[in-house]
Amino acid sequence: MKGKLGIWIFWTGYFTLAAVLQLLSGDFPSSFFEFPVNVASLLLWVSVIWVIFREYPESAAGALLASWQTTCITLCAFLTVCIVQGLSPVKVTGTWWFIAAVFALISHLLMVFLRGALRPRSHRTRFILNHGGLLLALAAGLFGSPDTKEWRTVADMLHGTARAVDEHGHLAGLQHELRLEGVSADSYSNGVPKNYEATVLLDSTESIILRVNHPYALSWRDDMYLAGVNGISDGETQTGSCIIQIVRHPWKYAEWAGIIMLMAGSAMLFLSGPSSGSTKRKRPGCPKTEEADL
Amino acid sequence: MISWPDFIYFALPALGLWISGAVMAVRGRYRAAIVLTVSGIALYAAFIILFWAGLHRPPMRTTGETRLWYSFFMTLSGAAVYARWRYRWILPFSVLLAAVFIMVNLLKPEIHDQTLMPALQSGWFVPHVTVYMFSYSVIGCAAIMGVASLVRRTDRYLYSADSLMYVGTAFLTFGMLSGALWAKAAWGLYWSWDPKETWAAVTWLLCLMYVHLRLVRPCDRKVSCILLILAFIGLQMCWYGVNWLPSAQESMHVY
Repeated sequence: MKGKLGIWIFWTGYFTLAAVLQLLSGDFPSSFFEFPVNVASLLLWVSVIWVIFREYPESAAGALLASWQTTCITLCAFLTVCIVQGLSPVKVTGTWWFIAAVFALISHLLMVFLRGALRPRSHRTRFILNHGGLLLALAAGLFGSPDTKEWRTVADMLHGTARAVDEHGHLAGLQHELRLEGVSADSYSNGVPKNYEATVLLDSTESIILRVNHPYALSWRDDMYLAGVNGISDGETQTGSCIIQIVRHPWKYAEWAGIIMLMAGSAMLFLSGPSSGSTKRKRPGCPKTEEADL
Repeated sequence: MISWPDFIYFALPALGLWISGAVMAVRGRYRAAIVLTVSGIALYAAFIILFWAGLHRPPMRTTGETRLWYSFFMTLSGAAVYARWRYRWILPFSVLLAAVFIMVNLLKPEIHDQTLMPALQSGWFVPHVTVYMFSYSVIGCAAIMGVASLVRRTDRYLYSADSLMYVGTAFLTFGMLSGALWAKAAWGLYWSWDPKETWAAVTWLLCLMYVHLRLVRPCDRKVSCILLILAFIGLQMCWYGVNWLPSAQESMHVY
């Protein structure tokens, strides 16, 4: 397995298995991985890779996860599924092969991150921010995806509502009652909306103002968004309704942390530029290196 | 007040200055090339500033308006690369690329009214678009280096391409992630695999592949050059090519 051929055989088998599972069982059963199964899976995954990294770095699994061939294969696989998604009019992100590509990439990324972060190297901070940030954002996106939910509801002035429709069209109860108190809209002379906002009464007690790009935090995991307003002409009116979107996204903090780390890493990439020891100096003979120094 | 019909009065003189600068660069007259090119950039920048003031909003809403920025940053990046590495041919190629997008804007003018939909009224709008356009122009210059390296069969230009790709990738990353933070505030999720986002990821991955390949296999000249060219094609897809795909019908980014 340590040889290049073994690595290629493993990954070919891995992606073939994903394709076969897709053919046999349809899309990935993401609902099975809702909390707490996703957290348990995440801990198990990190533990397995940690044990391989610490205890068996020279094993076949260690060599497989840390090799340059795996870097190429996982990046190319992820690129391929992104291109397929980019060309496809339907979402393919719930398929076995898409999730297999993301999982392979983050598994390799975790191994490379552990190796690079825990040993002396040049541009170590930059490496940690870029690879750790990407790892955190991707892992939180993948493992947190089953817990992410969206609902939409229409609030009007006549009745309060505590029900909403999820992305599959199923009716669900909300933990809060919403009633529209007022809407205001401003338009350009050609009728294009300039600004609109809705005042919503929450649980008959709290009055909140919703605007585009300004969500309201219902709880640590739920945010409320203004998706649209209906029946509004210029100026303030006393009739109408608004579409409210509620997003449950408990893993948003991990994703945010990953994004901020990656932004800081990209700033360091700009400031420090290419490593003087690698790209600027010509290497005669192009020596092949089995272990990627990423 | 400056409006879109005035574009031709700024664009053609600026283009004339840039072409003159490129000719001077080819003839080896460095100072004249820089003066002419920078004068053209200043004239073009003057139009952007005055047009911005006339519109009462950032001129970044339509594809035509992003072409305006791309032409500006393309010549700016070309001039910076010429000033840094003195490649005589970089200015003609960067001016040619800028000229193509200026001509498209002149021959296919789009509506440039003052409207700015509520979703675009965000603090992220200006940094997101300008950073993206700058990264596109830098990656465009790197792609020119890649073509030169492929045609002349030398890896000499790839060392300059490396520096450009680090800058381009850093800005592309910032642009993509600022878009993710904006998307969270506007739509609820950082990333929703919208066609535009997906093609941004494709472009970014190609840039990352180039950076990693150069670290590990610095002598894979052909593959490096091909990755540079593919990254350039990827960013064209992300920028406007995506609008022609069937998947764009569901996109929240069509403009």
